[in-house]
Amino acid sequence: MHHQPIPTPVRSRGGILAVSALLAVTIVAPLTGCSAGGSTRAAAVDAASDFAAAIADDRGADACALLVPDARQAVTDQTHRDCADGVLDLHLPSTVRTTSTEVHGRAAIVHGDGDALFLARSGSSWLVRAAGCTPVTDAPFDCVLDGS
Amino acid sequence: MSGVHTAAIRRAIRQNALGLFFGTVFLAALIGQSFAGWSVFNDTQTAEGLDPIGWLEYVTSSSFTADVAENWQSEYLQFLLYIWATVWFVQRGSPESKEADQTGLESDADQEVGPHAGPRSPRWAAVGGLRRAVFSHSLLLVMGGVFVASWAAQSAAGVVAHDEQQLLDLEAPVTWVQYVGSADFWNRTLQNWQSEFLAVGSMAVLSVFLRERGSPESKPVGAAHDDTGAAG
Repeated sequence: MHHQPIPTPVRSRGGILAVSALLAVTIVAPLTGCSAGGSTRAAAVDAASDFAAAIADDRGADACALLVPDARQAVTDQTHRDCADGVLDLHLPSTVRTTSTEVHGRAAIVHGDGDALFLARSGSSWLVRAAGCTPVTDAPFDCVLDGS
Repeated sequence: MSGVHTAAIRRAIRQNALGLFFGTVFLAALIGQSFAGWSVFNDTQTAEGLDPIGWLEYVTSSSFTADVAENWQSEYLQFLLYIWATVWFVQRGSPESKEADQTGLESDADQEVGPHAGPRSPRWAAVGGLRRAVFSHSLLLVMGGVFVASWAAQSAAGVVAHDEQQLLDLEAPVTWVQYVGSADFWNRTLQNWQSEFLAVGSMAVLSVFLRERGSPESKPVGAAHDDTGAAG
């Protein structure tokens, strides 16, 4: 369709560049919150290490404090004991390779020796959702403790 | 504030009313989306036994970014393809189309470039070489650039949101390369594309037979159905 051009002031190239920059910032800036920033990843690593250390040192109460509520309930359901005692009965792995941590948004996975720990961010804390997890082809991990 | 100043502001608003209107409803819809999406996200958090998050944290999350970007990329692709297609293809009787004998880039005289540029023509229309070439395709270049950037943003935010859900489901995360070949990515992409292409196709065809008095997107109410390129 051909319209007669309507006389309007010519827009400045600076204005066009400013709008393009604003669009770029609007698209790109939120991505900085997408995958883990340094402090988020470090916090997930710390939570995984603290949980493994609590298991290694037989500090059941400390380990339970690092579990999401559904995982604490799963411990009780599986062992028929309170969480602080039951979590030690599960003989969960007590070592993690923190260099193998992957954080995606508000969820993380930390690998150990042949198994993995799944964490989720609740508020500003990282908590363990599942532990003693081994991979299964084309299916969710099979976990000794499953609080999902 | 002087009367002259007020009159100037009113004139500026009147002359830019279309852009201002859509800018306003865009912002209102985006803000509305952010609150609706925040509510859905927190419902999922609560169902997973996790604490809810704040609004600011949600609007800087991969989940929100992916949801916004997947819609932006398809809108800009829609315009990119429509602007390009209307150079080369015609739709007889549509006000959205050129006449059949005018397909292609047209003459310099018709396009008012180079020696045919007028005193009010943009400067880069009058000059030659790369500057005229860039300006002559600046609309496609910018639409295409925003499409590519927002599709890239969709893929980058989308893989994080996808992997976040994978981990919540106790499944292994995927890489970006695996994600852009995944069903999740193409499902989101194609469901947006189909609606965009349907919308512009409908507009091109429906405007052959239907009218909206006063809209430049429509032919004049009394224009013939086979009258191509006429604006209302």
